[in-house]
Amino acid sequence: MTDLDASHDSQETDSDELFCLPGERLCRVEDNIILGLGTYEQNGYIYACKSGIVSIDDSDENTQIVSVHKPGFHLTIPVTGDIVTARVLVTTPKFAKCAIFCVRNQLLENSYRGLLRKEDVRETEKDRVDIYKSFKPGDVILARVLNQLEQSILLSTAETELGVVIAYASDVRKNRVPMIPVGWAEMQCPQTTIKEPRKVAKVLPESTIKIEK
Amino acid sequence: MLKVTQTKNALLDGATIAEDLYRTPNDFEEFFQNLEKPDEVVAKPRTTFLRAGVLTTVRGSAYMEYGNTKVMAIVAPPHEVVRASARRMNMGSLNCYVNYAAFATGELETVPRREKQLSSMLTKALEPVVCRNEFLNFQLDVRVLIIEDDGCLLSTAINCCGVALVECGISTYDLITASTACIYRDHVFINPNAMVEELLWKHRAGHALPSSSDDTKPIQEHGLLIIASMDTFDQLAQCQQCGYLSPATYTRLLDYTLTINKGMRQLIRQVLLQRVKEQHDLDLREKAQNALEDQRLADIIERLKSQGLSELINPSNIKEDPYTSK
Repeated sequence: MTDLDASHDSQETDSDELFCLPGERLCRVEDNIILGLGTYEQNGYIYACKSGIVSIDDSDENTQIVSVHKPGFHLTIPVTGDIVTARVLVTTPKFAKCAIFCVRNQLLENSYRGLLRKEDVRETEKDRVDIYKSFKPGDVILARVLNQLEQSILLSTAETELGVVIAYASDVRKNRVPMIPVGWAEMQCPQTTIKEPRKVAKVLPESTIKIEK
Repeated sequence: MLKVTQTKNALLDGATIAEDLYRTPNDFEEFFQNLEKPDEVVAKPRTTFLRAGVLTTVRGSAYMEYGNTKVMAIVAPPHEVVRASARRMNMGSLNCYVNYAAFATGELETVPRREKQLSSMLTKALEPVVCRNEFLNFQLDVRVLIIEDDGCLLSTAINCCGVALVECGISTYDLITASTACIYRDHVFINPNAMVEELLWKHRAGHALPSSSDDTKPIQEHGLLIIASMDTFDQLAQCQQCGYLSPATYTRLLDYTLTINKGMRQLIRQVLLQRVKEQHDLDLREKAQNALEDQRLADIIERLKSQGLSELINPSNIKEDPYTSK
């Protein structure tokens, strides 16, 4: 059935792209073939689990990655190890609640709940961290996904490149003035020159770390 | 003659609903006589209209017309579990919600119960097909709106949801297809319409069978079979059956439904492939536009480098930000 489908498929496509649908057999599992995105393995064969275009890329000299890329909307879920962009919603002495709105360089449709614990704020002097000296509600932070809990995703900013990237001066006026980082633990408002403590991220060029536009 | 469809219209006119349409056994006879009975069994799907991505506000949506049955399915990207469930699952959870449109059915009393039943059956059918290990600790909501009910409701909903899932980009092990077949008084109805289903529903307990008074005759077979299948691995995702069926008849009906599923699968494949190509073309166009824009900017930078900064003041180079113009 599947082989029939596949041959039928290749006839249909007039361009050089190979389209596939879920459940379509792509190739046999071999030592030099790695399963990429949108595929799964069953009974010694690789099958597609998404609709899209089959692409075979060389990862190095003699291994190939078979993956299926879906055109249009691509579903993104933060997984362990991803860099995410989040907005701090609430801070408590023990943790900060965040709303994740961007995973890697992909903007999400709906935000996911993130939880940043006090221990995960920075690498050194973990016991002397104060959440209120690191984040304020409204800050935009870069963080790494540690774990997926039942109700929210556990985040960590314990790297020099992670932390607050955009923060607004906390004054009573309506217009929000973005602050400028001065040092790794402080940000300054350009208008009032008031300094506020933050866990500032050392933002690297886009080539090393992907951030939102 | 009994008119089942009249209840629906009468409701819209504000008239009262008839309490019970089938009071006497004679009514059954008459009703059955007036039914259109197929002479031979043609295991083919009904005339179908299917379209993926009908809504722009939701990522995964599909609309399906299966004969007169009209169904719409919506799949939203997975989100965090709302309630902290006590048991820790190592799989994402799947929730289906089926709703009747207000004008879809005449019998309003039974609607909540039927909605609930359809939801749970739909959930069971879709669970094996979704790669639930990909969204751990998340839940996926599938919503189905029934616009018109003319039999084969569950199978149409399953077909429609399968398309909506693929459209949303949720990983699925296979395409899922479903169909319904039933038998009543030695007549096999493929894709039974609302009247036949209603007749069977009234007979679900087997109490009103005309031959039951005659002890010498065996009980007549009557029953309904809904099969959802995944053809790549020849698996059945859902098997819903009611009534009284002998094993031989059961296999016969099963074969019919599987044949219809194959036909349905071809159609779904066609629709989805077309959709993928459509989106691929859109992607290519967008990419071309972006490349053009990049080229324009690169040109400006190049010119600035060669001519100095006076070029920057030229207003033709300043393009309005599309976000601020909105």
